[in-house]
Amino acid sequence: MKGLKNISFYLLLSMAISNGFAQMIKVEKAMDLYGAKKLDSAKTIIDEAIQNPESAKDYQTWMVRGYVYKELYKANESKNPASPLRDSSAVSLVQSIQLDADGKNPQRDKVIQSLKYIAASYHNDINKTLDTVGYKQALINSDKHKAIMKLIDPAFDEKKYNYEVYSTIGSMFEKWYEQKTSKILLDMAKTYLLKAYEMNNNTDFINKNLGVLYYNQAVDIIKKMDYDVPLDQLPVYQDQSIKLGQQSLPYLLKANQINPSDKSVIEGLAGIYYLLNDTEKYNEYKKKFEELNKQ
Amino acid sequence: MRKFIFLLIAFLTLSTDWVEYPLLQQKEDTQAKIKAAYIYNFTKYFEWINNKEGNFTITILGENAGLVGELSNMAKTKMVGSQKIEIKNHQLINEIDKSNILFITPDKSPLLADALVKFKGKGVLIITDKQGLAKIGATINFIIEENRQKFELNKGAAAKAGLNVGSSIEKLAANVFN
Repeated sequence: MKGLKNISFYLLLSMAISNGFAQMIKVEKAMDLYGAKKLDSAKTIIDEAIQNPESAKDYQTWMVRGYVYKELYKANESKNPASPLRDSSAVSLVQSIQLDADGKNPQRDKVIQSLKYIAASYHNDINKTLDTVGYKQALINSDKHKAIMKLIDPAFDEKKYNYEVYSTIGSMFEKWYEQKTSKILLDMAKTYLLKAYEMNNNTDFINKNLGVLYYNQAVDIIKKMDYDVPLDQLPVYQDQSIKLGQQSLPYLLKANQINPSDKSVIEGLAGIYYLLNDTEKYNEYKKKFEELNKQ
Repeated sequence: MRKFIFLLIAFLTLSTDWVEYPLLQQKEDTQAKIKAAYIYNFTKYFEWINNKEGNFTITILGENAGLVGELSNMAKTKMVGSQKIEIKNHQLINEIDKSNILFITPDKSPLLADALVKFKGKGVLIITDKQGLAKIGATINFIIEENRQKFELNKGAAAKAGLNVGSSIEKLAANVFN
């Protein structure tokens, strides 16, 4: 009876080992097929391998899957900013890194390089979807870029990156608002520029963009006003316009402080003071602008 | 491999290429637009008793290209009763023979006294744009208070000019002189 038990134990052990061994053979075979550029076959085999609980715990399985999916992405979906193949590659490579907690994978640097490539492609695709509809995809891609970079680069500055993405999206909406003067576009521009401002309020770019946004809005109120607006309503239009002009002023003053040679900011300050009926300050900045133009 | 290197370089450098620089709406003369709207409104609050024939003329005495432009735009679409609006711009008071409204720019303010003599009783609404001029004879004077353009009214000057003034305008004026 005891002998029978031992036989069963060894039989089960042998089956488990042979099953695990078979799975690892699959991973090796997938790697060979990947090397031979037979990507579809490599994908079928590596996807079978990750279904097995044992090989799914192995960083090599996920590494090979990440490589295979990365090449499939490059071959088939490199122009698709929402590529599922790239997402699968990223998830697999990240999983490989996380399973290799002790850093035993001799190919760890190569995995990181592949992740850098994927992260860069997410980042570059932000540009491809930078419009009033595709910006949501741009945000998704920037989030994916951040998630990877935080894992592989300890020096990655998330706040700085967020500033760049938000200021880019905000300024894109601002440009559209200048052309179409729609309230939705204006609100989107404000939302993203103010988000960028929260990340970093010390750049001439963000201060200039916010200053000009409020200034143009102030001007628009007067520009759109009809000549026969009732006399008692004229002060209301002026109040709205002046309030926006006053909101614009600190941003443009700061942009001027950061970059005193930016002529368009000085021109904007002259415009704001003109709008605010401050003749003395208007003349001061008008003179500065004219002097800079002579240089 | 080439593509890989390209993408990495792009990753390191491209973020500033995306940014959009805003454009200033510098061509809009907001003060001139507000003044033009005020001036057009005044045509509804005054009655020109002896000056109703031909076009309704608004003359600017002095340099103010912004206001001339805004008033000219306004004249394209608006009328005063059944009268078309005509905009004129002169530098000398002698060049002006007839006008319903005379706007005197700040630099031509010293000519107010001459204008008051020349147009006394002829139904010319004289508008000025400098502190203190309503007290010395301008019927309407633009002033700046709390960053806003406002106006003062001199009812006595309106009577001397031969104009009837609607009572509701008094409530909207920053200051009223008799």
